Amino acid sequence: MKRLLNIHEAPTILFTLLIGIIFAFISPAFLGLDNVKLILDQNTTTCIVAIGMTMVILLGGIDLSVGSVLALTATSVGLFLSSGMSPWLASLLGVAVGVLCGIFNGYFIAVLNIPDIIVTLASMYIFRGLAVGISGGTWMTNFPSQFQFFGQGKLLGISFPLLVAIILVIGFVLLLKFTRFGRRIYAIGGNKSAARLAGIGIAKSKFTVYVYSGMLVGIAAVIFASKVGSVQASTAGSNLSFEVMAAVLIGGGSIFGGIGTIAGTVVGVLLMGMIKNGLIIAKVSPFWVDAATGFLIILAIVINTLQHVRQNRRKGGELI
Amino acid sequence: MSTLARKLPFKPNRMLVQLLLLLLIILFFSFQAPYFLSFTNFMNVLNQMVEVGLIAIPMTMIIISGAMDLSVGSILAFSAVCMGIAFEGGLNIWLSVIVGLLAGLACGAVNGYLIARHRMQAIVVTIGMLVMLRGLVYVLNEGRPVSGFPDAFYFMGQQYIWGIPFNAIFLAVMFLLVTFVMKKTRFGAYVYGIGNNEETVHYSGISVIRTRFILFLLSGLFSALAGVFLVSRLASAEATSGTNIELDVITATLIGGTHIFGGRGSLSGTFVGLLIIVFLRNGLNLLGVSVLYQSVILGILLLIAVGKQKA
Amino acid sequence: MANPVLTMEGISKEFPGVKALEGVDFELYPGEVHALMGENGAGKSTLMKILSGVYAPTNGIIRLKGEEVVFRNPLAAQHQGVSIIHQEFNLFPNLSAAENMYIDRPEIAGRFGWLSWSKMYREAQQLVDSIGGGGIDVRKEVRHLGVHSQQVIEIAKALSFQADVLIMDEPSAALPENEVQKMFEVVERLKAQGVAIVYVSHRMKEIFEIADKVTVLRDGRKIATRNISEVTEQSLIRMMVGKEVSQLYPVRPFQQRKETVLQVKQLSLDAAHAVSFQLHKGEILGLFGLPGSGSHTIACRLFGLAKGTGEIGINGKPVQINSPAEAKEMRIAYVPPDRHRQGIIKPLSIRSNLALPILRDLSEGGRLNQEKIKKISQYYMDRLHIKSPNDLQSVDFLSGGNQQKVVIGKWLASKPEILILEEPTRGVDVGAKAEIYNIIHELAQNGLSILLISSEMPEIIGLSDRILVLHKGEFVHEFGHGEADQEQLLKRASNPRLVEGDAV
Repeated sequence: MKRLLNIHEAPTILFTLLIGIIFAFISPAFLGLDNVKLILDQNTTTCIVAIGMTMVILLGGIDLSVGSVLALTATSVGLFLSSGMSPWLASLLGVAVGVLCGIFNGYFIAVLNIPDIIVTLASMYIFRGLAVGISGGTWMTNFPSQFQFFGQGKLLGISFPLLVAIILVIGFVLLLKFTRFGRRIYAIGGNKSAARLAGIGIAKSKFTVYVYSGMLVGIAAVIFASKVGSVQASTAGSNLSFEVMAAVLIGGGSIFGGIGTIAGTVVGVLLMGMIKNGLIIAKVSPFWVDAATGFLIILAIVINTLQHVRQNRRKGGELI
Repeated sequence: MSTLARKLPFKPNRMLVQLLLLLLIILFFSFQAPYFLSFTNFMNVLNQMVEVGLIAIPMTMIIISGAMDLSVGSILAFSAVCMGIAFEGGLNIWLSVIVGLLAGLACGAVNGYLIARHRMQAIVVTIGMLVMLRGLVYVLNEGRPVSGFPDAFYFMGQQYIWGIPFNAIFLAVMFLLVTFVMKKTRFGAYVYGIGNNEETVHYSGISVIRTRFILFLLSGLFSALAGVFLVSRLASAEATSGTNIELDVITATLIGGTHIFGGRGSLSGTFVGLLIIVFLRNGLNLLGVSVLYQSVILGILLLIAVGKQKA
Repeated sequence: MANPVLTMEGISKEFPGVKALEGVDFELYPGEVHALMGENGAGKSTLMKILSGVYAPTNGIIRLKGEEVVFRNPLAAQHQGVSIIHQEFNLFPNLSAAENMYIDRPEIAGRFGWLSWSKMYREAQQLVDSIGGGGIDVRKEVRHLGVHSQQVIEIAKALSFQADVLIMDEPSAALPENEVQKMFEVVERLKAQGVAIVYVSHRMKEIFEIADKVTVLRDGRKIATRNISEVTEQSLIRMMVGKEVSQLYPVRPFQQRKETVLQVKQLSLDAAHAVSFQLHKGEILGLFGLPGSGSHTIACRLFGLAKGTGEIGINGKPVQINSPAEAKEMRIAYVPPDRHRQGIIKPLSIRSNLALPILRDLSEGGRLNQEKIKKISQYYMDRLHIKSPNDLQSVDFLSGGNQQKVVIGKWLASKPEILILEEPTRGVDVGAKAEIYNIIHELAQNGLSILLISSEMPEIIGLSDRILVLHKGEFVHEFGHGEADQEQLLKRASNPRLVEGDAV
């Protein structure tokens, strides 16, 4: 038991359980099998995007542009489809668009060394503008029926998007845990100068992370487009980056870098999803959802800073 | 050429480039867009730039001090809606304005408390506020706009004095006032000092916490002011007001030569940056370029402005 | 005896305007602990940096196992078998101990090139156990380990590179007393494994306990290399100190003690344990101690940069000092040790820097009085002989000495009663040093009470009216006017117990 509590994510998991119990009391439907399925299904895109954001935050970085990347990719897929491309090819090209966005961010951040907050703030508007531009400002709908498989299909009795999310989560957990690339991310986030001394190429790792992040958003976008069945470029994923950031921080990721896991992030995503779902089931105004997200971000940074201060105090004495 | 460059001090040189860019933009649109070059249009532009301009004032100070505030757009909307609700609740319009300003100050105080007192990362805290306040705005009035303010109130955003919009005059006065503060007062000296070397300022027996706190208070206040002016100009308080305004504000500030890592920058530079942006947007509007395409151009401008700073 | 594992021949290093090392020879044999000693500025750290691949020497040859080598960077040096353990560890606090040792190393890969954690843990634990760190669980994250364990991890990391040569820079500075012995045990094991160790330390006691040989540097030259059995503490100190202090220092006549200005009672925090002392009007009180002995902590506490227990009285009245702003109110000034980070604001002008602490007095209703500022600034430019065409010049362009004068000037402008000077001449050339010493002397003559904290012994001896010696956070001795010399001072500071017949 004690060992369980020592896990970094323990507080988040406990908190998630607590929230679940509270909602179950308010509304018995909350814990119904259908609703649980719904929560899982509703959060697959967020979860996939959050994998990339976890890596970015592990590096000590930030990415505001993921929502716009999602919009741009989803719109592109819509365009590809409407030009009669096969769903598979269109989706693949869509993911490639995501990768290109990642390369764009990575180039400015890692190669040109411009602060990530500025680059992703700018690219957030650039990608969004492009998305609206190529969509012509209208809704993209009428996707071919085969395309629906990506967002609504089932494989082996499990919904396809959920399956993709699970595979990606497992894949990236392994990548972070068992490859030199993954460990470099932790090393850079933990102590940049020590990483440099150990001969780790910081720019290269950063660049790769942003490219991976772009790719993941691309995959999420395909699922998103297929599930919703329509894309409006100007609003798709508009609050996504903030929600995902909140999920990572709540899941135990440190804004100072180096600390956090994908497993924790997944719990964070589930927690956010539960709160959203629970608020709706409890018939509270859906507008509270955004307020709650913002509050959770602030809560997460408060906890984050407290932990950081506590650790530094132990190291460096009581000097302020 | 090189000797000339050496003779010219650095700052005016930079300002010259900015003014040249502004001139180019004005020239370009004068030829391209038929209605661009006219007194009415120019006054129109000035009338519309006030909200961005008001927020750019504290944003410049905050970026000079080495931080950033992304919550300004949400504070604007929050204050505007608070004002609207107070008015609907039967409060006198000017008292409602005060309620709006107080709401902005309160938001600024929360930011300041967390960032200055507890040294939390400004970016994350203000992102949290951005999301939370926008949510609260919708919660407060369920997304429906508030309108029907008395005529006296529309004076602030719609009245022209000798052909010049009142709010633009107000903005100009604010710019002059804060320029004075930044150049001639102790507070300004502290802000530049903190941006260049926070530790030395602390070691000089000056309260860094207080200075930072005041900066975020100011940011809250000016965002609220912008909210009031916006409501007055558009005659309604809406939940979506001020969305994405931070891009314009930050771009104006950084194009205006304020350094992203703090320590350097000026309000006069920001003012020119502001003009560049509003004329650009206005010209593009007249050419029929969509608002979101304009964001692409602004985003690229932002990248160029910061990219230049590294070199 | 076997062949040397490492030889350095005729190593010189020049920096612009400074010769840090001149023709230094150095030989290191496998399985020996070789102490490197010298005063601050003697060239120890430059030599270490050359040896560990940070700097390239201007002249000279390094041979490793008989072959000439050039280290391109610290990582290359490490791969060739020369590792350094800095005072500040280079660890990843968020990673496990094992990973800290094996980060980004291909040799730990398992199947398909994937990281094999079991293999890494196994090898790391083996290495750590082999040097007597058996109690350490290498799976633990480094931030949860104590200082000694972290040091063991650093050593084990070096060994994982098959280190032949290990440089240890002040390895005991960060350790509590009871863990120094543990560290020695680790060093003994390394010796037994044939690793050659360069041991850099100020602490005499440790040198005699652990070292086999000692090399003394002074003013960038090698003075001698001796077997430890051939030297005594006395002879070592004499080698380090060399000739007597030159004419840098003003003559300070004996002062009659005046009234107490600052009274400190039972002050405790961090490195300082219940220290008490008094500072009198017009007195220069020197505080001397080896790194980590607590003098810096005392300064921080007095200037409100840190909180702790104990009483502080100024002019007989008890006071609370919770922030630098409050310290300033009480007319305490502090010239901090790190001028670049804490003393000056680089891009700003001399004038802005000089006026910074007293802007409140120089403004009316918040508005700055430029006339007053200009006057004050020009006064201190002249008074301290700050060399610059005018006071609107950025301090960035000034020499180290002039920058330091700006820091002193900005605090003099605040008209303090108590001036704390910490390392007032660090990184300052000799000419400016003499000037600064004269200024300090003059200030005291005019009634300013000065607390002088410095690691440079000649400076402390040359200037102070009284010297208090700190050892591990406690005062162990007080030297009256003219009583101290460098041998005595160093002895008391490094190991007070060795001094016989001494009642503290």
